[in-house]
Amino acid sequence: MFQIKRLVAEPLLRLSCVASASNSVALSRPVELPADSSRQALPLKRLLAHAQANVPFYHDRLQEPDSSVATVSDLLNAVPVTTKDDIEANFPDGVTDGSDPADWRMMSTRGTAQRLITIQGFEKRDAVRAANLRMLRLAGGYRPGMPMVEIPPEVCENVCGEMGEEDEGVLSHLWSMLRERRLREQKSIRDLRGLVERNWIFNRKTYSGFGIHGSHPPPEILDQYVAGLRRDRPYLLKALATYLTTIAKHLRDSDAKPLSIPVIKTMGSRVTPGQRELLETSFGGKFWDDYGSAEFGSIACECDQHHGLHVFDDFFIVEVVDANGGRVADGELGWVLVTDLMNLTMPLIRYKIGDVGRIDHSPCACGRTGPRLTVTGRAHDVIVDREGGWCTTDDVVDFLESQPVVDSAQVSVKSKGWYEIAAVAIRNASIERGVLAASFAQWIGGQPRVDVNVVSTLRPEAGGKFRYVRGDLERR
Amino acid sequence: MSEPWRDDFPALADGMVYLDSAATTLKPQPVIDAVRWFLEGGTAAVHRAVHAKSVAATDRFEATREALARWFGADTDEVVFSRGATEAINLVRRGLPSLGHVAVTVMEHHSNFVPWMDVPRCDRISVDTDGNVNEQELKESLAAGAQLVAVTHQSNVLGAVTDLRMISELVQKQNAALLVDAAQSASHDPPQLHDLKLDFIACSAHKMLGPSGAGALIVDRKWYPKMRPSLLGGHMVEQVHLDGWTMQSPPHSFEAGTPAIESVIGWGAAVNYLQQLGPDAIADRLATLTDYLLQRLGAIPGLNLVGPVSGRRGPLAAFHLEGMEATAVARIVSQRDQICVRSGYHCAQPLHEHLSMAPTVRASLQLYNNEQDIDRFCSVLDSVAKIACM
Ligand SMILES: Cc1ncc(COP(=O)(O)O)c(C=O)c1O
Ligand SMILES: [Zn+2]
Repeated sequence: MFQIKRLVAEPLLRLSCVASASNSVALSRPVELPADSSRQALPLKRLLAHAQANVPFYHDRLQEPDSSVATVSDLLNAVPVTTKDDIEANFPDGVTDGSDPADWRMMSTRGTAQRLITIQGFEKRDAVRAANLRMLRLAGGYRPGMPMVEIPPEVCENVCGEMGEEDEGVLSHLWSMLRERRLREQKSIRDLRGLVERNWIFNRKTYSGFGIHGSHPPPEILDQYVAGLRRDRPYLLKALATYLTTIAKHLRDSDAKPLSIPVIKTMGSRVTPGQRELLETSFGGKFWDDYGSAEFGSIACECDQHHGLHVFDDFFIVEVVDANGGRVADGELGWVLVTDLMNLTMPLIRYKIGDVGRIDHSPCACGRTGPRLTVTGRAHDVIVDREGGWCTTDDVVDFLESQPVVDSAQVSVKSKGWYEIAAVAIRNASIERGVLAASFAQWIGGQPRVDVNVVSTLRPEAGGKFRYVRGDLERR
Repeated sequence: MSEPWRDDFPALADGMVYLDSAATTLKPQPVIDAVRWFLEGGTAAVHRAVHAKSVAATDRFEATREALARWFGADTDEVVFSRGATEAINLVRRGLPSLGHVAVTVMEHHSNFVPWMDVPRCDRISVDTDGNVNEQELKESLAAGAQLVAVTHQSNVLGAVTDLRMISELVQKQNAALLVDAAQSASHDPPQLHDLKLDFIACSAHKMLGPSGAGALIVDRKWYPKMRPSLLGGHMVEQVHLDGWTMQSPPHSFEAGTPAIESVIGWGAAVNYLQQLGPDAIADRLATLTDYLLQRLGAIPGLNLVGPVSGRRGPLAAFHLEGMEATAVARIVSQRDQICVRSGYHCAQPLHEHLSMAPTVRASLQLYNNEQDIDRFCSVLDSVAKIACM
């Protein structure tokens, strides 16, 4: 079966693109821009002019197009930062371009912290597909038809709430097209294509998440995941970081034969640098990082040098800025801003995505010359230390997980200089609360109050994701 | 009517539009003050001690019982405190464990549906899209021996108001009992226990401008001898010996343990507040606002209201917006202009199943709302509808 899927998947993908007038296979091939990135100036000018003329929110924020300004940085310097609050306060009519909504899709992220809803036209959706294909190919060599397993975050359903959107099958969609004589209708064809892609071209199995077990399910449950992976033999495993690390530790501690899954990826969460080795040993493959979001799709991914994420700079302009929106020097920490060159329907320009990271414009050893991004965590997870320095999620998690007998831990800033830690011990060991408190206090500096609680499992947030640090950088 | 009432609700000071009163109401200052009185200086156990603090707290606690009795046309000893409407309904279900046959409508809130599902025979009486209870089915169920009928006074989704007099007459003819879930109507249209010949009324403080954690079962006292207390412990007993106990008289026999004293005291202040304005004035104001809401919503393209469009209707409106998930609508109006509405099944999934209805958006009103609230809501909906239905 796997071989058959391998054989038909690529032709099917091409065919479905032709059938629905889509450009995504062609788009998925990366374009190497000249080092000065002046070619980005054209699409950026197009975006700015379009937004200024058609999108009420941007009308006064952007200047009338000025043909004398030629460089990307000059163009961007004249644009204020766009926040989630800005978008929400003007959604939907104020932030869209007045084009025909028949072809729009709303991308909505579930969960508590991410409230935003993005609108994407056909062109943008095509670009999202393309970026996803590119990311899979570049970071790990995945080709359509290869088996993959996904373990997405468990979404918590409550009784009074809404049903999730149902995933329609390919055949049932085809059947309804036949029955309702919509075989030639563009929209139906595009929908069909989306379904073929999701279900057939990506040879994808989805496992359910840990659910009520939190971050640390009992060994029997973890055995089931391992058995599933041995049975399904995926080329690629993509899961919530917490699921990956917990399963990997289980493999390590249970003396089981390591797996051999060539490509490991995370979804909707971060794997810290300190966790990579564990994942690679236990799963028997390589961890390939990538970066994306519900608003944008895939934005950047690693090459085989594993040294920063190559930004898809024909689709996006990524900047790293300080609190005033000014770009910081290469290698310095700041807020990540994304400008989407492909979404004209709802333009997101210098959009503060809520992550912090660093940027590097030097050429990569792989030969690519575009900028490389390193994301180190969510902005609201950053702890500001006594000197005003930033400790990002990566720093905090790697520090805590390097402590003796700590398996994983969560930190909350209760107020300035007061931290609360919830820690899970490694199997059959116990955490000395005083010792952990003292070493965290020394690490963060000052004379903080540190309360340590020892727990058996960590709870996810309402959206199913785990939050390891509740920081104070963006606390109001 | 002018709006002196609005200023009594400090929660509105931040400029939000609150259209989710069917879920829980905002609290006026007198309620906040009453709760504060108990927490600050008035703290004491009720019913237990003879010291001055306890006597004062007990007085105010029992005053709520009296106010509720007046509000629902009952006697003071016919009010049993509970933690809310849900617990009140369960007091009846657990109190009458040998019930063999009951009838409920399909538009009940889960809290007046689930507790009855384990009765050996539980008839589900259908309703039409306007929420009219199927009289024929109800008659048949009663003729077949239904011992108790549990109905909502006002549907929390359709807004339909149940014809309690009609149902009560049918029920009496067959000597059955009638339980009314008044959670939605209690603030402005409290059903009258004796006047309507009801047997049980369930309500929650938090939907009547009061605090959460308190509710009541209003009981025709003829039921007391037949009901078994479902919670045992302190306060509900008169004498306890090493080998047995005797029960207090009702309603106390159904109130084991320390109650939510500050909530009950706050609730008393809420009922006083409602009394002062008078149920008729409140109902009038809500009717005016509801008409305006329906009229504004009706003018939005692609918006489909559920429930009755004319006739008696509670102060809420649920609807679908073509091409939009209900959750997305609720989220957008919240993000866009601080407007609080509910989306989903509203804890009435059987009704949605019965009418093959997708989750709805629900806007509900209370006396502190005004026309501008509705205007703000509808203007955001207008812009959402523009993108949704072209
Ligand atoms: C009609 C109806 N009945 C019962 C209830 C349950 O009330 P409570 O949760 O306060 O017990 C509600 C609350 O939403 C309701 O709307
Ligand atoms: Zn590279």
